[in-house]
Amino acid sequence: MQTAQRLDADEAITTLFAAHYASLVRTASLLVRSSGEAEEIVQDAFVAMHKRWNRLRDPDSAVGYLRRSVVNGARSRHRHHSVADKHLSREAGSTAPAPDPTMAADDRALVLAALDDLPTRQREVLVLRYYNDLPEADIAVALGISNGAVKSHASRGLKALRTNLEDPS
Amino acid sequence: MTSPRHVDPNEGTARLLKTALNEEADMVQTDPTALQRIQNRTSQKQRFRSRWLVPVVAAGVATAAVITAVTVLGDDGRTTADPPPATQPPTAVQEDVEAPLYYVGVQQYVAEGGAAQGMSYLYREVHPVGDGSPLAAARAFLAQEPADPDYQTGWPDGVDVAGIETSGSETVIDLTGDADLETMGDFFPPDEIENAGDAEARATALALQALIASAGITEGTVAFTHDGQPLDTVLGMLVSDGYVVESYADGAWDDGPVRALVSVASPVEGETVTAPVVVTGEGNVFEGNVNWILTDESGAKVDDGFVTTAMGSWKDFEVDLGGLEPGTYTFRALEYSAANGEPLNVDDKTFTVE
Repeated sequence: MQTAQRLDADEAITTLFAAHYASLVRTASLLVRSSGEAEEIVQDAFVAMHKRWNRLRDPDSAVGYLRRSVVNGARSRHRHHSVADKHLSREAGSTAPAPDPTMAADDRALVLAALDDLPTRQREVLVLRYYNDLPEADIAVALGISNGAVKSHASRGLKALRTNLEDPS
Repeated sequence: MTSPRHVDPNEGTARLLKTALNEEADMVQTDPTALQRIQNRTSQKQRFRSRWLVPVVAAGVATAAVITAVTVLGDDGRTTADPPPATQPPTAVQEDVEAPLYYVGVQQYVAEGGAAQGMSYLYREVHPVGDGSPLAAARAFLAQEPADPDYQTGWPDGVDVAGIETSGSETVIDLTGDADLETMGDFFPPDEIENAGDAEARATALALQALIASAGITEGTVAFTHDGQPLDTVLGMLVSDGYVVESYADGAWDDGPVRALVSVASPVEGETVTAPVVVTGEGNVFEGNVNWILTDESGAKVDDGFVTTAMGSWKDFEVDLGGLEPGTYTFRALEYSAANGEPLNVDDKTFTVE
C-alpha cells in the first residue's frame, strides 16, 4: 500500500472545497433546479469522497468522483421528485423560481424549462458542457459514458432544445 | 464560389443555453457554513466507524466458534462483516421456511425508431429464508444469489441487515456492513442504451424495492439506518423523508409497474424435471399474447407457440411441453412489440429433463 499521499482525507476536503464547492453547487442546482437540495447533494458528495479518500489517492480523480456523485445525486432527487409527485398527486407545474422580473429572466426561464424537458443524459451533458465548460473526456468520466456518447448526447440535446424552443408545446 | 456552409444550426441555441445557464448559476448563493457542516459529518463518521469495529474484533477473540462461523460464511461468498454475535441468530441448521424473494431483472429492447432502451422489473423466486421473519428473509435476499443469472439483487457485496422494526405504517431497516451505499447501481452497459440515466435510476429504485418486498413489507414508508445512524441516501437514492413502498402485486411508478410483465415461475432456472413438462408463469401484455420458444442445448428451436394472458392485469399461464426427450432446454417467454415486432419483456429458464 502506497502511503505517499500528499493530502490526507481531511486536508483534501478543505482544499477541494475551496476550489470546487461553489461550482459544484451551481452545477447541481442547474440539474435539480433547487439550490437547497443542490447544497445537500454536494455536501453528500464531499462526505462520500472523504470516506473513500484512500481509494481516490489524488485530487484530480477526486474531482471526477465529486462530479460523478453530484450527477448521481441530482439524478436520484429528480427521480424521487417524480415518484413523490405522483404520490401527492400534485399537478405538474413550473418549479423554477423567478426571482428577478427582467426581460432576460423570461428568456432564461424559457430556455431552462426547455432544458428540463430533455432526457436526463442529454440534460446532464449540456449542463456540464455549457455551464462547466468541461472537455468531452471529463464529461465522459462524470457520467460514466464514452466520449462518443457525450458527443451524441450533446448534439441530440441541442437539437431537441432548439426544437423545443422553436415550437413550445 | 465555394463558401463553406459549416454554420451549425444549433450554434445559436448553444449560445442561448450558455448564457441562461451562467446567469441562472450566478444567482445561486452557497451556504457559508457548508465546510463546517461537511467537516462535522466526516468527523462523526470516523468516530462512529471505529466504535462499530470494536465488537467485531472482540467477538473474534471471544470464541473460536464465532471465528469458524465467520470463515465459513466468507467462503460461501457471503459477507464476513457480520454483525456482532449478540444480534446474530444462531446459524444452526434448522428447517428453513421457503418464501418468495424479489430480484431486479433488466431488459434491453429496441424501441420504435431503432434506439436501444433499458427497462427493469422485479422478478420473484422462491428461496429458503431461515425462520421466515422479515429480518431472516431480508438477510437471505442479500446473502443468496438468485437462481436465474439474469436477475440480481442490485445491492453491493458486504451489506447486511441488522434489524427491521415496523410500527404502524413505518418500517425502519437497519443496514450494516462496510459496503458502498452511496453509489447508484450499475445495471446497464454504458453507452448501449438511449435512456441510461433514467434506466439506472429506475433499476436502483427497484433494488431498494426488492429488499423491501423480500422482507415482506408491502405498504407504508421505509426509513433506512446504518448501524443505527439515519441514512439520507441509499444506493444514491434519496430516502431521507421515507421511501414510499410500492407493492409487488400492483405497485407502479410513472415509468411502469414494479412487477415483471412476463415471467416464468416454473421450472426454475437450472431445475431438473421429469417429462411431461408443464411451464407456468404470468403475463400482462398487449392483447394478452405471451409468445414462447423452446430451444435445445444447441440453440435449435424445438417448439414454439403462444398463450393468452391478460392486458392491464396479470394472469397466469400454463404451457404443456409434453413428453420431451432427456436433455437440457431453454424456455423463453416474451412479447413482440406491437410497434415494431421486436421482442420485449423476455424471461427465460434453462432446465434439464431427466
